[in-house]
Amino acid sequence: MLPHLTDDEVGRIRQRIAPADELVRAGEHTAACAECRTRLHADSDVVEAILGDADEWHPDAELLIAKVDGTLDAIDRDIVEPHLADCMQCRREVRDLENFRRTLKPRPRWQLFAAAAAIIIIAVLLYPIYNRSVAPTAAITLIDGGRQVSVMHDGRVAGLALNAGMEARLAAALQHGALGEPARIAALRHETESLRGASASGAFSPIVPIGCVVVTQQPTFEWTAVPGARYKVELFGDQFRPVAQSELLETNRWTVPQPLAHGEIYAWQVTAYKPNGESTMSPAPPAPEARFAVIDVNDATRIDQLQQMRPQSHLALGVAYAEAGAAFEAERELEALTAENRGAEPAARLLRAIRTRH
Amino acid sequence: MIAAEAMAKPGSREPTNIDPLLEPLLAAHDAVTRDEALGTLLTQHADPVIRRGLRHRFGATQSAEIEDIRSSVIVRLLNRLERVDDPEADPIASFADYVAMVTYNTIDDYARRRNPQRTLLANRVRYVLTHDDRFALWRRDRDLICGYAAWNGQRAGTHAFETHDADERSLGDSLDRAFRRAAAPADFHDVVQAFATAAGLNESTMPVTEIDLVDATPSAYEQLASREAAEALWGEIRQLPVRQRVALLFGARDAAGQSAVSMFPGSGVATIQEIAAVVEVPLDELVSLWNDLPLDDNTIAARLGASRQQVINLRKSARDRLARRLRRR
Repeated sequence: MLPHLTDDEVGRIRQRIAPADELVRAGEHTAACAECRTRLHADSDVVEAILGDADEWHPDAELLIAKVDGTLDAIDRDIVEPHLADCMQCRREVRDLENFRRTLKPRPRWQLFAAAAAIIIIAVLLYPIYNRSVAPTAAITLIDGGRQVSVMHDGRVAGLALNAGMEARLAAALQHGALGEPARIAALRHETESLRGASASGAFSPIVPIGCVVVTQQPTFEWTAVPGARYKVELFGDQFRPVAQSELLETNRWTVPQPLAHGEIYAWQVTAYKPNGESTMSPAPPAPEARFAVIDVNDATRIDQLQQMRPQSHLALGVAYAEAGAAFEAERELEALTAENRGAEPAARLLRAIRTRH
Repeated sequence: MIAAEAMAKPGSREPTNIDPLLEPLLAAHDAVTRDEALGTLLTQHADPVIRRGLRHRFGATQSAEIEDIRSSVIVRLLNRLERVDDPEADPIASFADYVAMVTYNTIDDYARRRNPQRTLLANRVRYVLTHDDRFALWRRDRDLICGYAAWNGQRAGTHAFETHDADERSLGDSLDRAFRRAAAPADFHDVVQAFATAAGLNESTMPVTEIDLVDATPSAYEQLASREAAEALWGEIRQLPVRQRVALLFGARDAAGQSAVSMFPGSGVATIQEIAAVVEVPLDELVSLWNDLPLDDNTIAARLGASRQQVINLRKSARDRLARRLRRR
């Protein structure tokens, strides 16, 4: 082994004034000499010096937006992407922005309006001369509730009598596979991710509703059964305000007797009372709360109007349910649409998109 | 509370373009006068700004959570004031503006953890403001302002910003209607707050949860022998992207302002050859600049072809990642 460091060497190293060759030699020696490492106090200093007062750090919203837009330069990619690999919170924000971005329809600039107007004027003037059959052609055509529905190249939807906003959202859904979802419902879904599916293991736990929007004001609660047990369900509003509770139940289902408020978020717990006198409550900390939302009143009205349509449009209802955050109902409608359109990618893509929410 | 003695730094020079309010702190040469100067800054100048910021965001509500945020702001201010005479740090030209910025950033950090729905909504609003050509988002003094593109650069209006139709499917149209009613630009945070309220996302009612306690728990690495911790740290540094390694190692300095990277050879954790390999520079070049370490951010930026802010972000991102990974051990 190399000789121990002299006091002068230790002093120079601790003052960071040692020349490079001295540091090389010191490094070789201290790698095997705990005594000299102790004299240097180097080990304890280095972690503190490198990490400093490392505050929790996240890329700012501008960087996350640039990530979503694909406009990060190579250096910013080195900043953001390793962070995303470690930070679930920022990944969630990026995913939400990506979904949100897909739902936006670009607004044409005035130049595009002018160009479009010019094209329309020319087309109108030339119409009698050329082909009387000139008309917007269909970009996508599907069968929906037995009728033919088309998204035209100009973005209009033919075959369904809908308002312009709904038409635009249907077109975006079919052309880009984009299904909107309220941010608070997306967050609710992510928060309860670990709880949903817990019942698959057979353990006593809530099954539905969790992390979703229910379309009825009197939802039915279901949980995994415990042999011989009786159950009590407790329902809470915001700040854990008690809203309702069941009697002692013999079955693992319960429908809340009074209507819940539109747009509100609720949490629920179920307690199993076993024949041996023991009781178990689920979910219990550290599991997340079993939270769900009741459909927003505007969404409920919109869906009610769509349900009056004859024949019903699986496409319009699927998109409207998805936008309300009601993933189960949206999936049911989009399954029906896919069944009517075997092999049609736009329908299959929508079904895949909604299934990622489970 | 940071010990006042820790703030005495030999050889530091007085920065220029600094708020005169900070002069008593810069002039203090002993622990007692530094403590007094800090006390005056925090109680007479910082606290009213912090409280105003908290009131702006949470209203008149008082809660343990809001008090926690106030304490976090003060800790961040103390950390920065500890380096008030650091020539490498940006000078604080306006202490009040700086306190306001730290307050808003701290509130945002809390909101991100405690009310993720509101953060998602804020991101969406920002996205529309920066991508829909009807609107613009701009800085005016310490504030982030938004409105119609034609208003770009103007101050925020004085009336409360309100919206009752936060339609997330058509945020652009909702913003359009709200700005038309307001007839003036608005503070970005006020706009997000109005939309959050309309959507039922009330942040002042969020309960305190255990999530805030996570950071206070000693991590496994903090309990490791220091030697093991240093080796674990070096192992993690090697996993960083090379630009993060360069920004971190060339710029890291200890409490006395000396290079932190020079501590690795002294500790026997990494040789100079290994450091050269990790920062991907020839050994000769590293040896030649060894005595110039730590490099300032502009020099590192020039080496990387980056901006100074990118160097700062590379280093912060690296430190955050190292701290997260070491905590998991």
